Amino acid sequence: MAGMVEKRGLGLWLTHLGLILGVAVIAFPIWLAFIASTVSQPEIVRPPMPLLPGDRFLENYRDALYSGVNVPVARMLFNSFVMAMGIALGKIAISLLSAFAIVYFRFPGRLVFFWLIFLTLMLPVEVRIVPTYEVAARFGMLNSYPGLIFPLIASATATFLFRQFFLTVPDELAEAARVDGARPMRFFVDILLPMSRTNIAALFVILFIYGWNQYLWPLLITTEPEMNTIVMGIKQMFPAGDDVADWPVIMATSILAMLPPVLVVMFMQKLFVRGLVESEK
Amino acid sequence: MATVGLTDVRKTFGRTEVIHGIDLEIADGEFIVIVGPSGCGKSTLLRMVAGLETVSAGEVRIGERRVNEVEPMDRDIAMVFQNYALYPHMSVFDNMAYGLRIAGRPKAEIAERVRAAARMLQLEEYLDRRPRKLSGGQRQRVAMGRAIVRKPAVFLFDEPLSNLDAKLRVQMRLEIKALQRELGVTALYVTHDQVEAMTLADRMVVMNEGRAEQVGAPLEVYARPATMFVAGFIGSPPMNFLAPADLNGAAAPALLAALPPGTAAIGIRPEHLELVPADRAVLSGSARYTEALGAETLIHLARPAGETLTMRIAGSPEGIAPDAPLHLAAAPATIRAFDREGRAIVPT
Repeated sequence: MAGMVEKRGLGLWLTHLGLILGVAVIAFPIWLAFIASTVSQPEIVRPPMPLLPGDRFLENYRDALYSGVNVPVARMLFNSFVMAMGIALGKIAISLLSAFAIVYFRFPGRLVFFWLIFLTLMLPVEVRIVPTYEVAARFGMLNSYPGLIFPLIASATATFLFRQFFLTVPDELAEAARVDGARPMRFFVDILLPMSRTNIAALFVILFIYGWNQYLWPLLITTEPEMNTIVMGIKQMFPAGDDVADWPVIMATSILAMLPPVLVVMFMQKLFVRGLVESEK
Repeated sequence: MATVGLTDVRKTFGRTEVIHGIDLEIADGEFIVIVGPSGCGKSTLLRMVAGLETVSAGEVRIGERRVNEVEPMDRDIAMVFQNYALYPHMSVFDNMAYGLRIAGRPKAEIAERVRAAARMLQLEEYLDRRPRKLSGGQRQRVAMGRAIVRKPAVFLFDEPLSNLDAKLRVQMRLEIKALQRELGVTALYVTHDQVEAMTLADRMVVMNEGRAEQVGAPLEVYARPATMFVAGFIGSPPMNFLAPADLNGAAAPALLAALPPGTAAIGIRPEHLELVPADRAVLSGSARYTEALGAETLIHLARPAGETLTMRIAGSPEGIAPDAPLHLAAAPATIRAFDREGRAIVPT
């Protein structure tokens, strides 16, 4: 018995060693970025690169937030936030309604619509980006929040998720509501929505990060620095030609860009896991 | 409080007709149980009365008003579902109050009606709980409470007890009956359990393959089943069926002579068979196995031709040896005769 415990103990250590190594490998670049955001420009370009935080943390982050390179990072953070929230909430609203329609109503062409939605799964943003750009441009949505948000809202994935969830809701619930006198939209708002809240939370986390990390689309649709989102904005900070890159500020921006998704995950983790694991009955 | 009337009600799904014309008049305050095997259309019929299924043909009336085209909420009915269909995210109070809230009743009235129903169902201390935190019997009561607070003219029950364990089922059965009496409300109750049907019903409707085989008071249906299906379905263990030619005891010829003409099958309830000396017997067989239930004993007999018979005797099976030949008879008045189509032949 003692031998077994010892053996398991060793296994435990080895497992943890493996995990620690893994974390170190993944976290090291982030650590470097953080270090780079706390030192001065000359310190970065002079090898070897420092591995411990410098003393310019406050200055670098203040520079980044309030002046940035092209536009203050605070502005880009705000743009990204609006875009991510708009995409997440818009997608959830649209897919909830379309899943509701597909599951609970029998209308002509129901299957056709279902498959049309399904088809869009095969057409990610990148594939349809040129026609989408054309449409957005003609609507005058360049350099605007609607332009950033609307083309990315249509979502088959979320519609599917809610469809699957609605299918697990017993029919009797809808019938009981009908006997109770609830019209369809009332049933949707009073019963279906509250029952889907864990799914909504899980989806919100995923979609917020999806929206936050959008790169190609904002790059196309925004030309004015004021409308840049932070993920593409980092790229815009890179110098063109012979300009000197302000690496501490760029790195500070990178760190700032990582924070909101991390915060969203941290605060919604409990709901998120419940939404993925639990099927509430 | 209302009467319910069905006139030649039919239901078709696509081209298949599943309900072949049901006529039924339910008096005010009557408790009607629709009983039948699964797939006989009993739930469909109930759902047509509720308005959850459209009526393909015929007419459904509630309180003399044609309701074929009326939405469920406007039919003045309340329904209790098999799986209770409680709203999982709402407290017991909210579950019961939901219908009244939609109807736009004043808050004070809602609270009062819900509390009155909760008191009646002994749910007062659970009003703040979610359905998930309740036992099966309590959920069942909440579902009943949701129906009661609406003060409907007609109660509809769709197999409300089939998710409960046996002991609770007996208890809830009594409660449902008491409640219906107390409220004096018309009730339509669907079940596949013949014990529920026998104990609850003022009148029962035995359904088979979309037809009402017999409508009548439980004991009436039990004593004088209209068809072989009803005879076999109501009663446990079921009625024994024999061909007249199977009667081979010493007293058989006399009995055969007394059967009405056209008898293709006869039915004898297990409790009507008795052990008699060989010279008075109409039947014989050997005891295959016995089930002693305490107050009574079921004896399963094997007959020479291979079919089995069940008889029920009071007390314990003393003196009945396995495989010993047994001689049986039944009083002529208890024997039911059926024609070739399985319909009872009523002696004229």
